Amino acid sequence: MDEIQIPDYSIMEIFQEVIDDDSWEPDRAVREATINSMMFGLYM
Amino acid sequence: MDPNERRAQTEQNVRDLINHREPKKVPSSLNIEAGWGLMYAGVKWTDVEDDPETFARAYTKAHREIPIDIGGGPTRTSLRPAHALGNYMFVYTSDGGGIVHNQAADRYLGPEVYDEIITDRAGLMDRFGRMNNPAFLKPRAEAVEAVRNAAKAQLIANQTSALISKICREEIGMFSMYGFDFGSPGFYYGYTGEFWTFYDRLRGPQMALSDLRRYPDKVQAACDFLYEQTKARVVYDEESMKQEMPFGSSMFHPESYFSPAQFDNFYFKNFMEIMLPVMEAGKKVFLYGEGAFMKHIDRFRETPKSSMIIVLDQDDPFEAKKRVGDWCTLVAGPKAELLQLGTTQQIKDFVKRCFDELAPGGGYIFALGNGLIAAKDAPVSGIVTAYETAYELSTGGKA
Repeated sequence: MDEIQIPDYSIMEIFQEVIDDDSWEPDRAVREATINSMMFGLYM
Repeated sequence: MDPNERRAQTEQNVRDLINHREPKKVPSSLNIEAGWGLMYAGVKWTDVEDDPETFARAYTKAHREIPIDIGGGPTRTSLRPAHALGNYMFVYTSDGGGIVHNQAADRYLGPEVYDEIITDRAGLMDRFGRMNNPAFLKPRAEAVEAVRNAAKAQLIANQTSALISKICREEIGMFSMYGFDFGSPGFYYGYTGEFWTFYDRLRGPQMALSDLRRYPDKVQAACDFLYEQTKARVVYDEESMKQEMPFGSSMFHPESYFSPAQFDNFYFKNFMEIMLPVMEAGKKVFLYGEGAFMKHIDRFRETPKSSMIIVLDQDDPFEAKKRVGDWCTLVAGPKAELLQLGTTQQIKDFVKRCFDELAPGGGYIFALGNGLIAAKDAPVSGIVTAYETAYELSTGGKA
């Protein structure tokens, strides 16, 4: 069985990249609040 | 009745009863809810979850038709965000009417977590996050795309939750006292025991409880480390501490399994250190949890009188009333088993006994003895019978 390769980015980096990306929601505060509420639902 | 007037009356009733004065009406509450509102409306979750307005209108049909004074809104309104990341810890029920915790999909880590949380907490949580959200095992661009899709779904879910809260508050006149919804102000006091992190997250219930015997020193060191971090984050604001509501909060779950010494060591001494100053200033604290708690309930006599609101789950409310009913408010009522298996008369009789034995002297809020999370947790007919009977007993009139 192949060993799972862990990518060299961190999860928090990915969340931050999506918070910084204004293509899906114009208001940064909403983007940040959305990601934070999502993390709660993911048991993280 | 005008929604604003109804909400104001409920607030006054709550202020009276939590201070052990008999209210004009014993309010009824719905504590935790997820899917049952849609089941009541006969609507499938997956048919409406992309449309906040349709979801919220369908979901609140029950709140308009059943006499419930207090609620917090649903805990989840979509599973799409988690599923977009490959996380299937919660799934839709086969009838589409609700959601359920798919415990077989939970993934836990080994006992190294107790050391690792001290030496590299961020790295540990990253590893745990990847294990339960496989999108983070993919190349960066794919992970970013998955999170963007999840965030779009979460945005819709948040809009749905906000709309449900608005309808409950402004159109129906329901009241929220718990502080986590209905637009409550931001200053928030809470304490949850550190062992939760291992019990409910990193190790899972069975292994975490075994670790108390196998690795007691490591568990202790890890919990002590987390508590120091918790303590360092607490900010006491004099003005907000004086406000009874929104309530501060605490939770119990692994605490149900603790010996008295473990209860004190892993929960109660820390709870008192953080929350006692808040209660002494005037804030009320809401304790919610899962499991049987009676063996520890007397400890809450060490809190200031009329400071705690305790939601009972598995315990006998009449025994709890004898133990702490003059000191703490109890939130209790018929359990799901009775609603599922009992006759209409048995449900009515139980609700009457609750009002006869728990309500005198204040300190009682009527609620179902379990949260309604999955659609089939309790039949609609039983829920309606329970709340309508409570309404009749608290007002002397028909619902």
